Amino acid sequence: MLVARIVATVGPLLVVISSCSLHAAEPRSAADLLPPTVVAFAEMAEPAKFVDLVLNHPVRQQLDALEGIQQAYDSPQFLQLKAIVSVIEAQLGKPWPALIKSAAAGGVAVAVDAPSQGAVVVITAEDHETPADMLESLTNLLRADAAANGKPEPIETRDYRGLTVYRVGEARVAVLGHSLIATNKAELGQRIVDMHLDASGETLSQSDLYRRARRQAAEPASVWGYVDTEALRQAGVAKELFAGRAENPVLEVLVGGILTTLAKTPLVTISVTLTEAELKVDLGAPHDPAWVGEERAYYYGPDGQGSAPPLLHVKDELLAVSSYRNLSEMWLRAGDLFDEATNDQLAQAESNLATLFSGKDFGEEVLGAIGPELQFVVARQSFDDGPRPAIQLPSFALAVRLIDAETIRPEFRRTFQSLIGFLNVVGAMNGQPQLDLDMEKSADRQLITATYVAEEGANMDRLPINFNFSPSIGFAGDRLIVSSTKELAKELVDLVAIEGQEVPPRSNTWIQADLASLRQILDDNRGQLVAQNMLSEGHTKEEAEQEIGTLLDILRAGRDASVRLTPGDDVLHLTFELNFSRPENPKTR
Amino acid sequence: MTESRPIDPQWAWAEYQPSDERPWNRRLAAHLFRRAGFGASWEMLAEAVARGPAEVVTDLLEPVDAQQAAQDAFAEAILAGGDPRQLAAWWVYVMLQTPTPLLENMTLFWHGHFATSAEKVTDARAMYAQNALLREHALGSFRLLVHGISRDPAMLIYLDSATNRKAHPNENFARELMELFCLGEGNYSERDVKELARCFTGWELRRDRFRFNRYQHDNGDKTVLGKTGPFPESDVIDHVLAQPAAPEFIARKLIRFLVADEPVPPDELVAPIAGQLRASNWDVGQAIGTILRSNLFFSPYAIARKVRSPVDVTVGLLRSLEATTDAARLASELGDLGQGLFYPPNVKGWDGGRTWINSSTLLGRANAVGRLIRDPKTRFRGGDLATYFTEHLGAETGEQVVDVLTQLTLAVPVSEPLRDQLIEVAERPGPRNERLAAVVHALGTLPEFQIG
Amino acid sequence: MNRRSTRRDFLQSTLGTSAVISLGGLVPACFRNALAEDNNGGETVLVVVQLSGGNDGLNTVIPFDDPLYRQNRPTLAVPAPDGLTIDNGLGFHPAARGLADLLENDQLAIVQGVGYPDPNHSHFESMDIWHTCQRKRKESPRKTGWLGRFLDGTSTAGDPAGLHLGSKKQPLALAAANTRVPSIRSLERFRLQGDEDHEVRQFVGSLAGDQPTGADDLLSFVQTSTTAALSASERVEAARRDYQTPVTYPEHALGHKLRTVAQLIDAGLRSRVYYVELDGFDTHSQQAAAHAALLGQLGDALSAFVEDVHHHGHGQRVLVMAFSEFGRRVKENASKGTDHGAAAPLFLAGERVKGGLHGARPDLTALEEGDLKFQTDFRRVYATVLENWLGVASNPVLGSDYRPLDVLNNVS
Repeated sequence: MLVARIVATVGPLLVVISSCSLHAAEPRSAADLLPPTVVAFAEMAEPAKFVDLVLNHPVRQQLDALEGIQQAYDSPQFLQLKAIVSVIEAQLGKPWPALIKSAAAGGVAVAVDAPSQGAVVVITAEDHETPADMLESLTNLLRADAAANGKPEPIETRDYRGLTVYRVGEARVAVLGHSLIATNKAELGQRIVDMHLDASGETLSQSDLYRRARRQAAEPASVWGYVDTEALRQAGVAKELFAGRAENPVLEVLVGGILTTLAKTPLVTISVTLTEAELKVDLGAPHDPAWVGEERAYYYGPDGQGSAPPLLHVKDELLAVSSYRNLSEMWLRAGDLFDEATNDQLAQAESNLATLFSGKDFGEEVLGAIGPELQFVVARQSFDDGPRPAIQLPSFALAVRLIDAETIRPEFRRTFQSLIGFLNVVGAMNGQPQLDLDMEKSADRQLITATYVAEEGANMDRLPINFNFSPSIGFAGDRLIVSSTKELAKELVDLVAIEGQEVPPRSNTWIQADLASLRQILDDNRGQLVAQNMLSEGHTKEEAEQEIGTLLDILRAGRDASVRLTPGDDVLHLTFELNFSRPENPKTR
Repeated sequence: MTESRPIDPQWAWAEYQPSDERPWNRRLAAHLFRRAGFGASWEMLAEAVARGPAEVVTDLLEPVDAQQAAQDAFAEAILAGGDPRQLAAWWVYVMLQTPTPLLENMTLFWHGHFATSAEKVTDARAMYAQNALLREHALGSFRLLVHGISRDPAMLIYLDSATNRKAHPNENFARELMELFCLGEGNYSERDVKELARCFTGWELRRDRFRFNRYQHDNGDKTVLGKTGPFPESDVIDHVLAQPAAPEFIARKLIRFLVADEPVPPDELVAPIAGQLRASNWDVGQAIGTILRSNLFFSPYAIARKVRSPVDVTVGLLRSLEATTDAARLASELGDLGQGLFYPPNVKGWDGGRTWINSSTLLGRANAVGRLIRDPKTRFRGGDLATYFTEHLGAETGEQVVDVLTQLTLAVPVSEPLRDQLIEVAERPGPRNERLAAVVHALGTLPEFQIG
Repeated sequence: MNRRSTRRDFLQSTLGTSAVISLGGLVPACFRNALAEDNNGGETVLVVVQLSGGNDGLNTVIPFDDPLYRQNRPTLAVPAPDGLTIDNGLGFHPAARGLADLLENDQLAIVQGVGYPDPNHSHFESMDIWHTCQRKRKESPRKTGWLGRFLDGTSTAGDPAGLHLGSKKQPLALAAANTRVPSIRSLERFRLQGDEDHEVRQFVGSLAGDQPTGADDLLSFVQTSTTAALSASERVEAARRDYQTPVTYPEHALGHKLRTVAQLIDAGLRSRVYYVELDGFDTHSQQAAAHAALLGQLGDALSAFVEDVHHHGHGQRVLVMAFSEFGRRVKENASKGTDHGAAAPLFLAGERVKGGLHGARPDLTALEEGDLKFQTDFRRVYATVLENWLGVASNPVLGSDYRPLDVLNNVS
């Protein structure tokens, strides 16, 4: 075991040499081995714990019980993978989770280096025998396999400053200290070894950016990492991402503010945390309110203080969104935000919308009447009593606060009436059912609804898709509700009149999704999903039913999910959270 | 039929008997299946060779009820979306899976004959109802079919006949009934059109259903095609069908569809089939049976004498390889190739023959074949190409592969250089699936592949 | 430098590389035909740009000197100094820069007041009338369009007779009794796909020479067509790949489509008619910005196209015709827009047009129910195009005799 001997000889020397320098005696983490020219870095500090967590995760157990998943385990690709793994296990004498535990006890890290444009993987163990042993076993395995299949010798060995470097294809692998290092660029590997052996030069862990990222990333995390966006910007990578412009209005409304930050921020960190109960991904980027130009002021509000209103929760809710967006300002700033072609389209749209709003200027007068706090909900409709459409869609509604409600309320009411009238006229020409207007008025509330009327003799169980909708608007105080169904409008009108909604911590945008409702909606439309699957995959009915069934069962694993955008004091956070379902009590359904 | 020597009608329609000069072999069986219904798999060909032509034709004409209910339920689920393009995808799926390909092929024929486009009709349910009507009578009574079509909501909407008033009789439907559906051009006069239109006054659609409005019906006498009378209800349709031109018109169309694109068959050749239609009271199934069993059909006058339609090319290829695929995508491709199901270009339906061929459609076909064969969603009896060829076709070497493919798909005999070239493509180095796909793609680009 | 792939190139490249050629020096009939007819046969091409929705002609070719203009359009009237002068007190809308440029180069003919008697104000009806030249719908139930009728009488040796570039329904103008005009969304339709290694192409090319000719009518028809198709595909792909132009086309749908047309013309495709659409002219309210945007698109795209076609040497045989199904009312409405009208100017662009104004200027004092009265019947424009440009008799196509206008130079 030449390698072992070399390492055994050199090792103590390294310790001596390095202790004479300003650096730490033994590298404590991958960052201590890597050069500061790294532009992207990700690390899993405790792989053993992570592997344990995944293998014993309640969700995994739920999924394994599904027939569809069992079948995936029997697929040829998976069996092939299993075969390879068992060969490795046999060679190394331990089951693979144990292998990971010992070989990667100190963590696994991946990094991308700018000057060499190379990638490097660092796997750190507790001692240096383990990686050396593993490397030797793997090389033997590869050589044996090549010999058995009549292929030429796959591995070249070379010596670099006393270290044996193994070359397999593009990859160069060596054991350095307690770590196994693999890279695809020789130059990068040499630099790493030099830096370690000579104990000279700054390591990644000492660079300012790394330290800043480490502080910013949430702890504890299963995996964390960061990207040096400044370096990427200078290198001209992913120009569109850093250009700070969204080329269409929808994207702009969603992520415009984030793009501003991306265009200027020096780094972006990511932390992924997995526990039995949830999966959380947090992205963070340093943020300076001064970066937000006039054209993006609509996104964050004056002085960046705009805050999302509370989430609205309704029956059978699927999605609840709350956000701060000053839409009127955005529309008026369209010239700065979008290119000429998009602006032309917006001009045309405005021309059409003006007809609908009886000549009012859309950007200034219509959008200008709406406040910047927006609440949006999507809920499942159950058609238990009454007409049922063949395809069951959820209902959705938008709630906004009106500025100068008294004046603007009648305007919106009139517009709504014209819209319904227009839909009826056009609908009649195309043989569509007609909408029937109705109005409810009480002390501080008004509800105007339009319901589709079913034709005589129509099949009440399989009505056309129109019957998912009964467009309605409601007024409660200074609030305006625009809804696709009258039930949802009614619920919201009553809701917003009541005080005492939960007040969230300050966020700019907050989205919550209930996965059980999503599953229900898909289940409501199972027949259509199966038919679509048959058509687009060429499956038989049985195969399609199984595929859809498996999909729906997988959805059971999650309970709800949320996304939140929070402009903190100097860091902008975008957080995704997925909460898993608790294991079901076998007695209940 | 390019020779000047006329064909003896007696011989033409007599039943083909296998002989030494013209044995009943795989080649003829493949020809039969290609014309009758999209194509046959290798196994089906072997079975057919064992059973003999007459029996195979009888089987093709035989209805199979088992699938109907499942098909209808499937269509219902698709119709919920109300999109005729989805319905087209449904039909492609049915064509791929059906145990009765002749029925589907003839339904397609009648769809082109009684052309109605979803572009104008837009109601998918109405298009489906018409499709079901066509399927019901595709191999049955033409008379019932015409009666049904004359009240079919989709047809009436398409021909702007949703209302037909006494004061302004709608001539469109009357004209098409005679010109396109029953008699053909030149077998009626303009006066007949006007009078016939009067017979249909009061026929209208109310709430998507056919209704007879007696207030709008012109009860007076009309003179249509030489007969005068009140022609109540649909009597006039039977009168139109009673014209001598009618069975000839239909017989000629059937012969063109099943036997050869060109030249136009002479009257003596058409007469026996026309006569049979007349004598059997419009039993189309019987006429088709006669045509498919005939000497003419199995002779050089018919083999390799039709340009294959886009459906023939794509669905045919997939059926011969027992394949299933993304039906929605294929339906949309068929539209690009000029045969969008439920979207015929005009009232005349699809002209077929040489009109299928131009620069963009030829490239389109080659591209469609190439795309279909490589699509990961295309599975050959559930598996991939390599497995299918090895396990179900027993074809391992390049030679075997090429021989099987050319026998399955080509009507034109394979020349030596062509065969060698195809074998060469099959035997180039590379993963087997890719090689096989390359051979099929190359095959699909050949002029020979477009002839069926 | 634009490398144009001719049929000769194609044949040489495939015959040269294939291993099996069984005929030595003999070239079979299907190839003889292919070689004989060189592409770019010199035949004239018509590009039709349909402006859908009803273009407001009065705000396109503007009578600045007429006080009635400003009176009837208090908010929509374009201020006189902004206009791009044509002459005689007429000027273009400032956004129609491209049209003004074409006029300056003597490459734009403006036929004023084009319409037809007893104007119809429904989009569908009026557009159908323009497409089919049939006044009443019930006249003849079989509907073919004027271009379809023309195409039925032409032969383009396997290439599509005409091409419609667009994803919407094919315009009725192209409906023909015997010819199918493909609608394509992009040049992808002309590519042999999935053939990155050119394996299939070589394969077919090498085999095409092997078939005995004259033996089978149907087969040899398909063979010739296949050769033509592959040749067209080669040409189109080469054009697409190698197409170089100093002209910058505007980055919107019409610009892209006209660029594609220019590429196809340059690829030597024998199609006689190309049809594209620009939608959005139905400006009932808040017209100013929307109409300006559209005129900008039209002007820029047309001028880029004409310049590009000239640059590649096809200028003498390409003519563009831009029309709309009707104009708009003289008086603006309450929503700062205009409603459906009648007569409007029609534009012909190309190297061989007689540049400038043609026809009589519509009179704002003599309106017909609030609309401009037509001065030139659109069928005369069609007759001009059919007889003086496409070289066929116009009566069979239009159903009647219409005297052509004098708007084209050096015509047969």
